[in-house]
Amino acid sequence: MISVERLSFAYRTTPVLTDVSFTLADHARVGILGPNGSGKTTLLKLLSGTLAPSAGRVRLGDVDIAVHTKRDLARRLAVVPQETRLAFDYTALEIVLMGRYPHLGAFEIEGPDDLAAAHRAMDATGTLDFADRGFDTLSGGEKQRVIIASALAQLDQGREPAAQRTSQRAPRTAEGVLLLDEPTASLDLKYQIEIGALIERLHDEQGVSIILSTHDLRFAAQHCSELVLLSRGRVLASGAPAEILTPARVGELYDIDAAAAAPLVGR
Amino acid sequence: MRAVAVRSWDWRLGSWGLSCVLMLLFVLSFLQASPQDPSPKSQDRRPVRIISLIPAVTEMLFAIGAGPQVVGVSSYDTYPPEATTLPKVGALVDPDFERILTLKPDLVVVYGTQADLITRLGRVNIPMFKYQHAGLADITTTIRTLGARVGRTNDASNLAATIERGLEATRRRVAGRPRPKTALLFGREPGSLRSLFASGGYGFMHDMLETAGGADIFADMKKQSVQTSAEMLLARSPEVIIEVHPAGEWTPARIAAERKVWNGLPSLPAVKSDRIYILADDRLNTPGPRVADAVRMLADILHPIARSPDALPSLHRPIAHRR
Amino acid sequence: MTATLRRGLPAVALTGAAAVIVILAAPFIGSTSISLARVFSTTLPFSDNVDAQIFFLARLPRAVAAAVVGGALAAAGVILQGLLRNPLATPYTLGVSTGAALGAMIAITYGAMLPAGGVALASLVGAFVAVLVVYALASARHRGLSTTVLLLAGVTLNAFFSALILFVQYLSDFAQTYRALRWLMGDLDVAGYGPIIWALPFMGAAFLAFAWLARPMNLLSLGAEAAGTRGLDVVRAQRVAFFSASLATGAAVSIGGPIGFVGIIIPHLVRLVVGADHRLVLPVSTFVGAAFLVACDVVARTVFAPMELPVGIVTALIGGPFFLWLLLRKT
Repeated sequence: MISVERLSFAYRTTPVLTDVSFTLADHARVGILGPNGSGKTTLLKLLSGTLAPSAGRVRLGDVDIAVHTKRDLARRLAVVPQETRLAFDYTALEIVLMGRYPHLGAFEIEGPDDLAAAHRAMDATGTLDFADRGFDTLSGGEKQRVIIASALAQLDQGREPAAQRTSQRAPRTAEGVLLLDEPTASLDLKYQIEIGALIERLHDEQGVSIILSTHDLRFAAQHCSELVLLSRGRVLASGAPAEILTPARVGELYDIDAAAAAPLVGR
Repeated sequence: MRAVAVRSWDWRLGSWGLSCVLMLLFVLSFLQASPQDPSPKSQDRRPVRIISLIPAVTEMLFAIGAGPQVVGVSSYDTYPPEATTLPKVGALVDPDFERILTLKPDLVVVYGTQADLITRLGRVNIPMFKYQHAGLADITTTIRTLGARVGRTNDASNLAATIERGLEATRRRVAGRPRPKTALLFGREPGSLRSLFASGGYGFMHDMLETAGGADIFADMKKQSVQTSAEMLLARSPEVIIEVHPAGEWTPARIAAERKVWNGLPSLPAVKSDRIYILADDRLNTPGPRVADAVRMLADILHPIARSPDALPSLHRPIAHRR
Repeated sequence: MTATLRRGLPAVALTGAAAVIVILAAPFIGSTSISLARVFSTTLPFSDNVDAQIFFLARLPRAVAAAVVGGALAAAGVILQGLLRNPLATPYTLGVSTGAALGAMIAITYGAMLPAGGVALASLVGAFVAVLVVYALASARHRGLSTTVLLLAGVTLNAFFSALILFVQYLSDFAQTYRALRWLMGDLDVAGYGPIIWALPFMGAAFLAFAWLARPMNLLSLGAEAAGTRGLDVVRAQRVAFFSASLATGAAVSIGGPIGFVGIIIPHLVRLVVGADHRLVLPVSTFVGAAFLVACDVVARTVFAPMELPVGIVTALIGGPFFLWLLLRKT
């Protein structure tokens, strides 16, 4: 469970987020929806601990994320950035194994457990086929899946979770939160659909909680169980898509006429 | 980001380019050249306002009695003492053209490679005497030509004859004696055996060494200056090592300390027989009128048994040190 | 252990062995022919044994110095390329060598009275000054190290210090200028083990840091932010990378002068063969860099014997065309 309490953030004197509060249920599939410049990416960076808030706090479980060590936090929270450009050409498998960093000591080399975790992550994302190919030779959608696999390997605890949510065996990534920043922004339609399906599958089969940011109304409505509408750094509304996506709100969110927004939400 | 990195390469290439130019300048400065170049115009007029940019030529001018005619010298001039009080007008790489003009010279002694200065002086019709370092024999040739040029023909030929007699006396004295294999060095990183620069088989220093009865171990390298290495010294095993440094910088205590550095190469015959000489004396690196003294000093070091009856008093000053 | 890592291990062993062989073979090659029997003779006292002295006092320290300098420059190149996320970076991009050169120039010009190793010490001090200036510039007004500011500061400092170098050279006399220029071309004739031993603590500290940096460098090539979300303390890793690479470079330059190209062509070649993983690239580059510079120095001291070619010219003659090929290949 992630809860955000009265979070504010400003770049120097320009406020980006103001007094943002919401609580996300465990095992949720959350979309942070808003137009460009609404503060989505900043909110995601605050959630992952990349940025420190000017005021307020983010809690993972009961603990402020600022209290966690970077390694501890990384084992619970993994980020998939909008786009990844490598300085050097690593193979897909090497990228995925980089996700094991917070699980290893300073001079430790990946062991069988880590390889197994990478294998599970690549299996779940359908990237096993090009494990040994150079990252730069992959298509945009393939790259995105490799980065998601790396994040998944990062959340893999390598052992069965101590507290099992259900009677059946929970996957090893069940305690993890996957943060995706505009996962479809640079992809064409085919890959958008593919990534949407993948996100749902990871949520259902790997047990990870999903938090993604998007400006794509349809993508959010289709793939998220909860939405946080963000407008000019403030929360406009939050809740289940069916409840909060009214023409009036969508119109306000995107600064368009409510009548024009109506077809977008299927009314 | 990439563009920035490439620009840093440009800088490095630029600095290499500059280095190459400076190197070229240095190499050119040692090319053999005729020391005389009488300007046809004012040949007959005896110059009375001479500027010399070359310490060796300044010495020559004073030695042939043309000292009163000199009105300006280079920033490196230290001898004779009278010369040091004259206005300084820069040197090889930084001649001060304006100061030169202000002194209204009627003859400027320039180095042959100072192309820019030569062009500018030519443009304002100031007569020049072009000079370049060369071999030992060129010193007296230069003195004679210079004497004719400044109206001191007799004094010049007397001086040249004296120098030649002095050199000949030394040559006779060491004739037939075994010639010790000698390394004549003029550069070394203090406190170590790195950056060793030696006289090669060409130029006045090489000639001085050979005249003084030494066998230059770098005679086969036809350059005035060669950088050498520990291996080269070990392989060529000099029996005598002579280091020549500018006067003033090297104190007796420091010379004693620097001699010990050579113990790092114990198999060198010069080290075993303790024949390492560190000389801080400008006569040894100036191709001027005192060159016969310098050669005699070298001969006294190389052939101590045949030391000249009128051995130079300077040898008893703390210049040449033997432990 | 990953498959690629395991596949790379023979490369580490092979290049390590090759480096050792090259270092041991180099003293047997030279402009003077020496007799093996005499070199290892037990009857002849060392102080009389010219062959042994050529071997142990002239050539072996030279080969070891070349190996230490070559290995350090190649490894520092790897680290700086990773830190700046720019494969065209060199160990000299951030101003270390220009600082070292300025220090050496000043020592050569004004340091006639300096103690033994004065030039090396001055070049090390110059390198440290440059490093601190660049670091102060790059970390001012930033929480971490801004790599863009780092690059700009390095380039600016390079330009400024090279102007100061010219100024010092202008003030120095001809013999000093010549010595200074010769220093810039690189010289590994250390004539003894003193300079190497002197630099070893610096090298040791730098390589310890390099060993720790291998994995953080992998993460950093994803980008600083992505590396941070994988649990890396990015600012600390960048700091360690910057200072350790500078330390190795400064120590290398203080031994042999600013020898060019080793720090860029070796990492490139190695990445072509073993891939991008820094846990392979670092050790293999170190070994190949060591072997490469030892070989270059053998060429430098034999090709025009009895004259010696500055080793920096040899590396530049090999590295320049290689670099052009690399640029053409990329576009």
